[in-house]
Amino acid sequence: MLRVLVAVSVLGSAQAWAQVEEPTVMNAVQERTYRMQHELSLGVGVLPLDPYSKGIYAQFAYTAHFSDTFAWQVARGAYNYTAKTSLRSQIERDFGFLPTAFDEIQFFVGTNVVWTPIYGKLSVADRWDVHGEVFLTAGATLFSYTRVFRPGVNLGLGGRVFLSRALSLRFDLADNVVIPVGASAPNLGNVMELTLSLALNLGATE
Amino acid sequence: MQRALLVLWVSVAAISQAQVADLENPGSVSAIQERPFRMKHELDLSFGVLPIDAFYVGLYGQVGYTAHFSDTVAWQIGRAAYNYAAQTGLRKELETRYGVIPTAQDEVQFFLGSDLIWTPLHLKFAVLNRWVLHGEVFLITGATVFKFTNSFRPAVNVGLGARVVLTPNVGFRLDVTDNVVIQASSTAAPVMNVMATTLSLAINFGAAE
Repeated sequence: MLRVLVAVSVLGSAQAWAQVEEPTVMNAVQERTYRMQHELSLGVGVLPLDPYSKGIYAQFAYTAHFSDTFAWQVARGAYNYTAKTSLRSQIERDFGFLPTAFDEIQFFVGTNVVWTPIYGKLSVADRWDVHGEVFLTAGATLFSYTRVFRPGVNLGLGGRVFLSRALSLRFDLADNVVIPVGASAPNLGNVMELTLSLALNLGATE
Repeated sequence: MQRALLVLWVSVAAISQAQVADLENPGSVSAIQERPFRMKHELDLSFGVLPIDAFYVGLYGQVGYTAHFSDTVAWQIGRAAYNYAAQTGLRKELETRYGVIPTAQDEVQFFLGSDLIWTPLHLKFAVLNRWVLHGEVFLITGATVFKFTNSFRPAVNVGLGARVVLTPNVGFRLDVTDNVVIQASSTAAPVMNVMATTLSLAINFGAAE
């Protein structure tokens, strides 16, 4: 993880140096307009990777922001609804397998460290300004499957668009490497999460 | 599509207006800065993934050329990709775990396409509060012809992309598109989806600034 962070940082600085402007031009970084403090988020998400079923979940989370770049998503909890794929329906219908033959995620809880190296603003059609940030996440998740709990380690990337000082829209993309537990477990499983959240920011002084 | 664009436009404007209300003091001025980089003739060398098929993951190399007519409108005149299909292990799992032997899988071998690009968003962002980078976000719509193992099939694609500019001549570009492929066979479902994720090194020629 440290190596990845260092690599990202070096890449970012290399790109920035590549953009160094003429000697007479001053390069300044503006103050942030928005800052986060206590973040409550309510989101909906998708687990798209399983070939037998697709998960659609609702998630609630709390994140404490310690600085502009560092935060801890103290806890998140999600309840998952599973939709069968056509492949699974075909196996059940044509080969007589029971629905219980397929392991499904029922809910999951987790915690994450959040590192936010990028803050920016967008001009929309050269008329309006929108502020936002991009962050990396790393953490642990515990998945409740139909018959067993399985732990996972997750890495991810996210973005936020500020609506106001108190409200923002947050998008998270994370991949969980799930450690095999139980007889029906594969070697190592991947559970990808896509989450879109409405975030409420409390206690920020600016 | 028109409705989706309209909804997107209205929501972005609403977000911006919400921020403006939050930001503006009676004495302050809100200004949009000039773009420091502009695109003209863009040559892309790309690597991409087709991640959505349960039986294989496509890994492809792609070359493309894009002509930029203004800051917001461009035409990706041509792109061509050759795909390698890496098996996911699902076929083996179906055989060993469920005793099911799937029929031969139709895989993407190569594809060609052309796209219109609309770039409403220009980015300026700070990395670790020290360095400033520029970029843009764009929407893509176009058409693609896929060569599968047994047939050619046409597709319509929509997508989203972003660019980070390194110098006036070099940038990185990420495209995520979904292709709705029209199935040729009467026995198959009428359409199928092929999602493409492409990371490109973009070389820009002939820009005046």
